[in-house]
Amino acid sequence: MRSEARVSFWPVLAAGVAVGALSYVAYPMPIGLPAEAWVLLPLAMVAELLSVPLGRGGIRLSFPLPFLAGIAIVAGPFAALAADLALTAAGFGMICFAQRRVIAPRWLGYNSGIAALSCGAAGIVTTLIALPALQAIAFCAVYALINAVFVSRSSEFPLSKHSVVNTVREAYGPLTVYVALTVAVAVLAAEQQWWWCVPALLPVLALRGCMYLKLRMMEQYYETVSALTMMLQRAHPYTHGHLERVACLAEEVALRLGMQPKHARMVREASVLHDIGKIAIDEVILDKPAKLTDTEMEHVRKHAAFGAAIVAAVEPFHAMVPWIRHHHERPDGQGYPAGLRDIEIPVESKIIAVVDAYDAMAGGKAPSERRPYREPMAPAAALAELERCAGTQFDPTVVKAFRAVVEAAV
Amino acid sequence: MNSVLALSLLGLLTAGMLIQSLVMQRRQIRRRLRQSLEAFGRAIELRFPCREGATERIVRLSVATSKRMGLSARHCSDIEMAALLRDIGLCAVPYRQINQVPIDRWDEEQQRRFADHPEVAAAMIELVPSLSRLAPLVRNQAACFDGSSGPQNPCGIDLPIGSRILKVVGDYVESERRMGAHLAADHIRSQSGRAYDPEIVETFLAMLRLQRGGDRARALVA
Repeated sequence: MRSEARVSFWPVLAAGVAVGALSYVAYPMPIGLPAEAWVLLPLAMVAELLSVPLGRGGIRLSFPLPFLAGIAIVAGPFAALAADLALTAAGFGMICFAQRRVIAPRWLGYNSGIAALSCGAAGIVTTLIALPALQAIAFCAVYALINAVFVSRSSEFPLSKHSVVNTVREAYGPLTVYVALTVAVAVLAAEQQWWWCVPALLPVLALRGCMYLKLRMMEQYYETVSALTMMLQRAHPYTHGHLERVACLAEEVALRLGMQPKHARMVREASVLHDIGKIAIDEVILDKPAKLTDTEMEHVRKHAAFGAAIVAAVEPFHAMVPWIRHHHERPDGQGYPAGLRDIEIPVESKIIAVVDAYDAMAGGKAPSERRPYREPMAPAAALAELERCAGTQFDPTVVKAFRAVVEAAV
Repeated sequence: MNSVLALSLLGLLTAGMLIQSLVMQRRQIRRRLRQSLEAFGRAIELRFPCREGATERIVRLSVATSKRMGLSARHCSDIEMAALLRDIGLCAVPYRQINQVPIDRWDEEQQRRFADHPEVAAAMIELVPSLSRLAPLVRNQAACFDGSSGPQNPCGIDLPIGSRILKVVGDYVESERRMGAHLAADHIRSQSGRAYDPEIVETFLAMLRLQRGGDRARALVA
């Protein structure tokens, strides 16, 4: 992975130089590089240049590890390190070419540092092991670990928030394939069957295509969320800030209640989309400052069911359908649309209800977000109000977790 | 021995990944995209119940027309997606204007707001990277073939073919709901060459006669 530098530039560079020097002294490169290394280097180059952008954070995912591991095994750690530096330089050139401008040289320095550090360390580990297959696995593990730690520190990639363990848990399929590929290439290189390493580029390409489509699918998911939000905002000029704050708070509360990070992210998306049914509600009634009549109230109440119907069309959102449908239910059974009682309401709906109510009371300090019919409350007063309604309108456990989240943020 | 094992591992991995990525994931992406577009359409139909079912019918008829015109598969799928997206700009039209005021009693302001909806939709679509190529199709969906709809749209064959098809099919479906299939076809035919591309009108009407648009109950009258 290659990324933009944000933190600890000089320490990383220094550590990279130190590892490079160590591997140069301890494992000098053989004078004439073996033929395998000369075959593996261009293969690694191709694999590097076919990188895939990972989200919008400037991180790129490339797949040169099988070939780097091969070089480390046949020509020693320093050769692998030098090869990885060459790859970084090539990646730098490619990005400059693609963007038609020279990007910050810091990028090159930072990524060279990470490359030297991870490739050098991984190469040194392989010299402690005898069997090529095990060498390859160890190389992958050490390289990926060091790389992931630094790249995640340098960006707002979700990996930084949670742990490397979660990434492994979520992407174990492609990771297994990648490691298996590395093992195969390492065994072939160690047995000097280097000509068979060339077709190994095929599975690398296939893996790349697979990751590319996976990332596109994720992108599409987020695009759908944002497009639906855009429609809602056109229909009923809702404040952007409200949805943003509700989403962040809901994710924090879900995490505090012990949900998996993946699940908490879904709660976040659901809370962005929870009022999507208001697209189909008369905006004049929604903005009416006076008390609503019974028929108007009935009309507004349809938005929960409408929202569920809209979201139900999209497969990845299926889990959210009940959460959105029931976000106005109350533990005492006075809510709508179904009048569910306490234990029948999904906990995700309860989270959305609490966070939404809090932000409606306390949020929107900016003049443009001010609601025409009331002033925003102080956070403490809003929390007290939530606690007063806990048990009837809100779930006490969720309110408790919510108070902890708000207090931790202050 | 080891290298034989390694080689077969390579082969297996390649085959597995290729099948996984090229066949399954591609299909899944397409399906999900279509579902998202349906969600947008559903939101509009819930907002304006009088348009219920129109989107689905327009999608079916415009895909059938573009296939019959011999357009490439890529064009056909773009037209299908644009047909699903064509109404999303209506979310900026006030709820009461469409649900409570009859069309012939709209004042100037209301007419202008309605006429702007393709532009609103196109502006939204441009913000979504994977759909932005559909923006011109949606923007020109109401443009007349002879340019009489105003200087903001191109005219004649400068209009994207997708917008020309959407214009014919959209107008047909709307007048079909109001006056029945027979009169709607007459209306389309009478405007051929003025509001509509004559070639598309011919193909479209021929297709309706032959296939009955896949909707026998309604098309039997024609």
